[in-house]
Amino acid sequence: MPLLKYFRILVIALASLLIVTNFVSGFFGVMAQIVREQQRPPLEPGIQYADLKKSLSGIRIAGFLTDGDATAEGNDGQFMLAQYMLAPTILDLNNSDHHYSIINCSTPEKAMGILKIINAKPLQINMYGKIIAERNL
Amino acid sequence: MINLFAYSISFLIGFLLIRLILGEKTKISFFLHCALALGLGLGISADLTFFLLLTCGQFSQIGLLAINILMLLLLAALNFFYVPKASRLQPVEKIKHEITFHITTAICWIIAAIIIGILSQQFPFGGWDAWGLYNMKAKFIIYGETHWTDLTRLHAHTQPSYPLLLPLINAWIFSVFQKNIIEVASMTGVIFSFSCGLLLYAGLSMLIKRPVAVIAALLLTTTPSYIFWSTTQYADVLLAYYLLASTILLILTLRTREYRIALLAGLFWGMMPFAKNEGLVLLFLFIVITSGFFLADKAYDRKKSLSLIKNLIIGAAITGLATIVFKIFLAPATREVLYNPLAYKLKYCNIQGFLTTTKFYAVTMMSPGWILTWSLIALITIANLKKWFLVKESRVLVLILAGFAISLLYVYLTTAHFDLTWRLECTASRILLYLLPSILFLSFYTLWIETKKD
Repeated sequence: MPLLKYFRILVIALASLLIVTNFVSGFFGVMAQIVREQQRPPLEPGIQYADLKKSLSGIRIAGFLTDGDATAEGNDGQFMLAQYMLAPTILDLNNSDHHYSIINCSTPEKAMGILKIINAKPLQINMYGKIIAERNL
Repeated sequence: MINLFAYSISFLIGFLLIRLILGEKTKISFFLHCALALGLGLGISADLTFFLLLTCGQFSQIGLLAINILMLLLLAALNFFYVPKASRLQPVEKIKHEITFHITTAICWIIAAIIIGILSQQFPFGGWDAWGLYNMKAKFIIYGETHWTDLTRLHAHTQPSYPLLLPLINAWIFSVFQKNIIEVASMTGVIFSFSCGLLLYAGLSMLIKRPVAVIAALLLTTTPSYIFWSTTQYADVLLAYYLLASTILLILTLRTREYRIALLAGLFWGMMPFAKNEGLVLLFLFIVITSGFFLADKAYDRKKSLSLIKNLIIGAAITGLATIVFKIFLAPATREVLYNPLAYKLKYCNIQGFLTTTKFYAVTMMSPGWILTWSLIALITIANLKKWFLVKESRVLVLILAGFAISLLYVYLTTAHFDLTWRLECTASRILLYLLPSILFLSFYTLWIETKKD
């Protein structure tokens, strides 16, 4: 019984010490966060695709064609960024059957190659090099 | 701040519903009543949003407001007629230096709330999966018009099989004033993160000394990795909250054997699967192990045991209905769990896979943001291991947690579509986040609860 009592006191002491440590580290975290906010205002994810949203207005589904890695583990996140920004349009990854497609390529030459392969013309190209392509059906 | 009005409506729905369920005789502390009310109310508002979307076919601001206010008025009327005004909540046990205790804890809670609030802005748009999965789905719900169900046709990278509780809560809150959805998602994360701490205190303070309960709750709320993961707008903090509420109410059900508490516990159990897919496993384990315990323990009258089980299942079925509808009629099959592992070549289902998984969890627990809290839990567990099995409530919960650990291990070892290390990197910290409040609760509960031997 006394052993249990001492153990409880030990746990209370350790937990209190941890709380104080956490408060101190929290204080430094808060300071760092305030400085970070002043230095660099955050950008909304998928901002690279924001100006394509208007052209896709009312379109229920579009393709998303990329020359990058499309696996769950190794992708560069471009598909997720585009899907987030362009929702509620569904993006169909690496499916060129749709009338409209978003093309995300590392170079303009590769993008032109994809346009040629899928027999499509660019409808809009933005400053980030993202393309909305329309297929010649 | 403007969104607080919508949270308040949900809170009142939860508050009145708990009051109606518990009635005059069954008493819980006012603090626990409030801490549970927010989660239950938001869950019910999300369920209402889901069924309204199904019936109306699309998001409707007026419809949502009307149905929530109607629910509030209905509950207010039922409370007025069926619950006597004189019914009082359980009085709290007085402690020495009551005023000093209140002032100290209030200051600590305010500091913790400020830290959580500011640090939640580390990711103002949410963590990677938060905006990519949950906030994106909220956009489908709000702006998808009659095609909102397209969110279940999305690519597997965006997890279309994930349950919708978080996007639905955010869509409901957004509907009231139609302000920035990003702010709503951030505020929901902060509210659940802080509420989890309050709930831990409220639950523990009903069972052990209040100053000890406050220390446990503050330890949770100030743990750096807890703050980080709970405010990144993932659904894990929701599961953390509902799992903790389920744990507290299970203990109260076992201790009081009250039908009304059992019904309330069931309502919270049923919320877990709508928060995350893992909630389905937890719900199954809660039902099977608790029912088995009631039926096997000779201390319980069999008829009463069956009634308690019935109430638990009824409660879980009411709030679990949305998950059932979503999983059967809308969601595609998940790729994350293999139902027929023999059909695949499993390269991780061996001792190496087991060691990788356990080592990864050990390393994650030892990372700077987690290590001190988990070490304290380990110390309490090792020194107090016997009591985890001596106290019947903790025995049931240990079995549930053990069952869950086995299920997790199964999922990791049967990984077929992904790389195991990548999968562990994506999930380990989040799983530790939603288990932490319940395990911390259990550690303090078992250490401080008095047994006959003590």
